[in-house]
Amino acid sequence: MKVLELKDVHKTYNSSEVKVHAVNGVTLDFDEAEFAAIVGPSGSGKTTLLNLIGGLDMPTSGEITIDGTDLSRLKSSQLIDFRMRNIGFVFQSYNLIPVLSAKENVEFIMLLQKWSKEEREKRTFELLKAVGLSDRVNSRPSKMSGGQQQRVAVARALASRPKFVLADEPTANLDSKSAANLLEIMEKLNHEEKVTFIFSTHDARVVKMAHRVITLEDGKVVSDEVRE
Amino acid sequence: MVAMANTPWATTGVIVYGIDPEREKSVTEIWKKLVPGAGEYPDISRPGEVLISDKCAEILKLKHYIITEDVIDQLRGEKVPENILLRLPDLKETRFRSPKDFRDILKMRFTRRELDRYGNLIAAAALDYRIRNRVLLTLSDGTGTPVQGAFRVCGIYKTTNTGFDQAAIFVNARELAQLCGKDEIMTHEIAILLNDIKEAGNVKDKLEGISSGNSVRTWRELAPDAALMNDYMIMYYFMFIGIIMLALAFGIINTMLMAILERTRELGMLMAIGMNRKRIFSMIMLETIFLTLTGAVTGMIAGWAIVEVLGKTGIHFSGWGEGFEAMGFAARVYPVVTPDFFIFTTLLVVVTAIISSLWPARKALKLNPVEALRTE
Repeated sequence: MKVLELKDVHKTYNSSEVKVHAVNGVTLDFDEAEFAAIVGPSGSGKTTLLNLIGGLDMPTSGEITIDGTDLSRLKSSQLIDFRMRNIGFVFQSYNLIPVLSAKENVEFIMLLQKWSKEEREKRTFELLKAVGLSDRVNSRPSKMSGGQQQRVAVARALASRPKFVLADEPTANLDSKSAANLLEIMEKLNHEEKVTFIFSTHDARVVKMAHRVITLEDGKVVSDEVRE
Repeated sequence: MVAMANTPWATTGVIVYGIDPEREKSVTEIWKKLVPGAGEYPDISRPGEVLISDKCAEILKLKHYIITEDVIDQLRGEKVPENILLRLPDLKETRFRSPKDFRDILKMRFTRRELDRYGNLIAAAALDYRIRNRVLLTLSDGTGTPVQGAFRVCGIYKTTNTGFDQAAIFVNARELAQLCGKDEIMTHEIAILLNDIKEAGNVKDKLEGISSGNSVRTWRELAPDAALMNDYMIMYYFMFIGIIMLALAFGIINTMLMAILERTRELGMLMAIGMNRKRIFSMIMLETIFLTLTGAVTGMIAGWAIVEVLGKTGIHFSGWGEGFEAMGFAARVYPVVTPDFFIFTTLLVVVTAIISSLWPARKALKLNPVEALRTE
């Protein structure tokens, strides 16, 4: 079953007289539990594409359908709610809430969705264990390494059982060991939780681990390769 | 009644108030203003008593200064250094009949600095009112014939209003009537103290209906200058509050705008992962209110403590003291803050906080998550 479908998606920025076609006619679809990398040189439109998929930005034309719901038909308040329930985000610079502990950061989105305390605790510990941070439950982000922070971010992205997780250059700020570790964890969770992971990267080692590699150039898909 | 007061040393014009000492206590506070250790309040059972003020005693030369062995002992008890005390004994048993004489003699003996530190202590210890001294009052009775009566000073009072002090002396109403050759007490003023100052106008209107030609006046009409001063004080008070609240509003707006600017990425992330506008808005509002309340509570406690301390010690406007007293205000001000003022201020602060947090909160709402996430 398709979790995500993009049909001829365009995104054009009108910056000072010059029209920039950041995403130029992308058609893609993703199945459940895919582990896909979007690669391409800087400026090829990776981030823009992820923002469009994540409903953070609206396409100039084209259609994005998540689980049968056309994003362009949602009102902005509905879109926020839809995002919260269906999409997990992992950012390049972790973006954890500095004043909250690892546990509270993961719990936060479940709190927004009004999960009960028991459900929250169960899910939080399950996820922190899965990302190998059972011993850092009460640590603040400032007391953790970049790799640890990014693992908390992955746990947070998965907290509310989203349809898929979008990660924009998740390993860009990490050393190679932490990056490999993070990817392993992501792959494991992809398998265990049956969640689609879509991440952008230009790190060759990360690309190697992806099951599907989509290459973008000038906003167009130039190759879409599925590996076994 | 206007009268002439004489002592063997001086004469001054005064206004004699014939009072019922006990009932007077319920409408004026003269009885609370007695100088400690200088006589007592008139008593209806003791004949021929007069209560005069410190200022009046000074004019009538009843305010004496005298250094005795007791005075020196008392000063020693108050930790006045020996080298100061050593210069006092040769003044012993000399009676100074006015503060000025006494000050002049002290000025010759001590340096300015010594006087600044110990002058007041020495003067207070050496002060000796001539209680029980006779004061002769001369006034004209109903027919215009001068009559004279001898009274003894029973006590000294001191209010903050020098003008009033200088003129007002109090005797028993019945004795004043007898002096004027009347059997009945001559009532020419009935003072009514209301529980609520704001009721003055209403009560006046009601009394006018039954006053049969007697004039009824509120405190505002009796003391227009004090009323004006009071009105100005209230006006200035609101102006100050307004200015302070304006500063507070700017402070809050500035702090919260900075907080939003610093946390743009965090807010972008929160919006991205699904925090809706309502939540973002209430988050900023709540933060502002908590921030303000923390500040307000700290400020209130500090303010209350300062007022408590100053309420005991008083703020002495030494430089402007005479000017203050001439206007009828005390040179030493004892600040008092009522609970409703505290409540009013707290409410005002909270309202100001809420209003001034609207702009920063709106600004946070206008953030675009994509752009917010991109900021460094």
